[in-house]
Amino acid sequence: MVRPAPVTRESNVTGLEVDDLHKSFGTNAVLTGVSLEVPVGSLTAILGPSGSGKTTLLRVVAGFERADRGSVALGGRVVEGDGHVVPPEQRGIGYVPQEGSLFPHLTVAANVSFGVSRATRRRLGGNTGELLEMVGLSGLGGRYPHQLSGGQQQRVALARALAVRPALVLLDEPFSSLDAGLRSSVRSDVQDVLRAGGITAVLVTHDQDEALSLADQVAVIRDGTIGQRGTPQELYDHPVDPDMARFLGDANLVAATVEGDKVSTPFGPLALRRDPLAWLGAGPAVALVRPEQLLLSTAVSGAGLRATVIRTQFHGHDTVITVDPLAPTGADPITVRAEGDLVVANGTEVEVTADGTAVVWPASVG
Amino acid sequence: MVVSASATTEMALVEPARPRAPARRDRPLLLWLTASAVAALLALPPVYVVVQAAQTGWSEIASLVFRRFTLGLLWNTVRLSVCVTAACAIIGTAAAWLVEKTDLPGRRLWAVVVVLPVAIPDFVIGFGWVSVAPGVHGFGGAMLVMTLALYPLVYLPVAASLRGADPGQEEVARSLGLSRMATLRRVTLAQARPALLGGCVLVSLALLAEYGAFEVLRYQTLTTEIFFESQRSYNIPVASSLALILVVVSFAVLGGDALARGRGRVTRSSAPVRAGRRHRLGRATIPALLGLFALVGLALGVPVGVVVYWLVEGGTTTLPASSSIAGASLLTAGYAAAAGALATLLALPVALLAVRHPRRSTATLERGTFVVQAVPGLIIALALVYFSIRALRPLYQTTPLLIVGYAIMFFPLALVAVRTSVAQAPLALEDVARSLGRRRLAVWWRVVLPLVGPGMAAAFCLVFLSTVTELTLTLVLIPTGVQTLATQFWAYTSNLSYAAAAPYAGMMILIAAVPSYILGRWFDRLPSRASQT
Repeated sequence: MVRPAPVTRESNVTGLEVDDLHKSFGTNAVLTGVSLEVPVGSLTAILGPSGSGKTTLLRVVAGFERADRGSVALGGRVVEGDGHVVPPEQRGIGYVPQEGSLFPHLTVAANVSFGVSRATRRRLGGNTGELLEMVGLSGLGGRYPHQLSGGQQQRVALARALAVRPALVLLDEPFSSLDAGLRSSVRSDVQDVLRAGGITAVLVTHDQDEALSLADQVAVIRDGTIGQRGTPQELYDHPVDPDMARFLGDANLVAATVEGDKVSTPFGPLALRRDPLAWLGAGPAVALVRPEQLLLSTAVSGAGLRATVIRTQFHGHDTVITVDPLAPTGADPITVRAEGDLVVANGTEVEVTADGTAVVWPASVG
Repeated sequence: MVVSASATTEMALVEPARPRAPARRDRPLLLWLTASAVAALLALPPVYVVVQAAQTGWSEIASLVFRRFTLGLLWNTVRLSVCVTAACAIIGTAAAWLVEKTDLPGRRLWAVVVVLPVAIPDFVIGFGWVSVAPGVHGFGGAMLVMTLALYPLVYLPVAASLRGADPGQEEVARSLGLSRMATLRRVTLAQARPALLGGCVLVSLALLAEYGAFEVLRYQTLTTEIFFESQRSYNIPVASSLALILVVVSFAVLGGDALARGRGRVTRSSAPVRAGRRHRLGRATIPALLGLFALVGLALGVPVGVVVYWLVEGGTTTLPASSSIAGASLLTAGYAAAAGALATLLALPVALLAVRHPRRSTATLERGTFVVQAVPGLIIALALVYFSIRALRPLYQTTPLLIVGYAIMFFPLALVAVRTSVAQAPLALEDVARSLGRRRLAVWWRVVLPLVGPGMAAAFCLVFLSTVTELTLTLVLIPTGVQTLATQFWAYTSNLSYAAAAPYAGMMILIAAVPSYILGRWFDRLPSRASQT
């Protein structure tokens, strides 16, 4: 892979600014006030369950749909808002749709150079070849889309979008149609290409793992608005509410009591996680303890939660063990993630203790 | 005309895709207007039937309908439809199974030859048989000739369905303990059932609409009687009440199909189709080959042989002047080209609206345009005569009216082909093209047209081919003093001038063969392209 010189990131400049966007289809309100800022050169993931409006948001930004209200600005230029609309062909946005949507009647090279004007094509000459090389497909320019695998098609779709040197690239669930093995390799290649070019990109996905692992910034869309926005780490460690905690990964949400900066949980006392969003009250609460914070032992000390093992799933790099507490904790079965392999027979009585800090919300929220 | 009808089955097999993306807000006003205008034009024939019936008065219709004579005609028509449809279903399905599912020697050649009778007009097949065996007439003759002429309408869709069927289902059935025969019955043929039904509908509708062959075979049906009453004895009340019965029977066929289809849908997996293992015929190979030889010999050999015989035997003296053949050929090709272009253009807005804006309203409009399928060509012709005399007198007995008649009659064929290719150019491609900086017009030129173009060409060919061999509507609507190949052939055979007629039949088959070939290639490519995208 050829890597262009990295562009220094000026994160104070806004690549894309969406303000108070509303969009309904008939009586169905899909977007109800979405606001979002994407810094230049960053990769932002918009994460949401299906039907949450994330694709609609992308289509409004691209100019394929018109917003009912609100504005969209690209690099400071308003492309939609106050009755003013710039058509999609004048927005300079690269768009990579879910299935690639390559032009079936054109070769790979013709697909990639589709948006490049004839003059530019003549001037740049081998530009197509360079782009194909960048996405790891050099030599395939003469093929037709149906002669490519799904992963190759997605790479061509990306090269086609990048060929016009867009100010912003939109990726609409570009990996969802690929199978698991291919997905991770295409994902990291796409990430490399975007990073290397310093390209501002917005990725829409319903896969939290994909969003957390790829993006510089994640915005979770819920019921037509942005529920939470931040770096992947911030979102994982400080979800705004229990629903968000569950949405961003496996979560054990247990009944707890807060006293000062301590929280007593069924797994024993834990320190309260300090952050600006933290709840500062005291009394009954819901605490979030991630599965990787939990430890299993067969020796009973009495400090932790007694439970029986009901299921063990071995994943290679770790093992996920589900246990059923002997005494009610207010939680569903508890999930424990242990490194490597850990062989515990179903029905074994174990003790679960916790490590690290806990995020809490008032009990009524959960 | 019959060839083409096979495409209609393809339509019936392809369920409209459910909209994935949220429906677009922008109302395609222009598209709606043009599509509605097309639908209105296509509604003329059914409207005519109702208007005529109302003018005649229900009591008079009732007295005409419940005459012994009318009931006899109805019985003739229905009896023949049922028997021929059953025979076509058996022969067409058996031939399709042999060609697509067994190790029959020469399968690729058979696949072409078995379909060929479709390129020969029914009245030419009838003429061929009558001139060889004068004993072929009445019910038995009609059944023989029509089965030979129409079985490809079952063969084509069933073969396509068997080819596209997932062999995994047969394997699963065998692994679940079903015998070979049980698998054939409960899985293979069950998969092909919608195609078989579609084929049977086409056969029935073609039979109800047929005039020329029955006239040659001296078999009276509703259609031949309507033709006689309206064109010879000018008894319009009788003609229109018979037309009402005929249209009701046609609609009953369509309705029965819808009912049968409603129960149990066959879903197709989108996975690429893997070639299944072919059944070994073993000792059955020779009988199977003999059967196909007999079928092709009777359906293709007899009419082609007769035409060739008269061409050779007739000698130069009795042959018509070659200039008149050339003139009729040019005229026929011109009419066919105009009809093809018009029908394709009419189909485009309807297809665009139905495929790109899938809503209940657009689906209803599209289905409404297919209704014309059930109206026999003769009645379309009578409707156009009626409306032109009343509203557009200068159009009566002119070329434009004839072209419009062809376009209405063959509109369903054009729509099927255009619709398939419009589906190959999804809106997502246009979105991408625009985001790459191309204007709307450039996108049409560079993306939409190249993708929809082949389907439009196929639609044109389908209509062209059907028009070249069309007789009934042409006889009614053709401007006075001109002759197409079909009408000239008809005129000569009616005078028993077989040698003079033969060259016209030969030209018809020749002109129809070219688009048939193009179409065959196009339909062959269809499933592979569909599985690739």
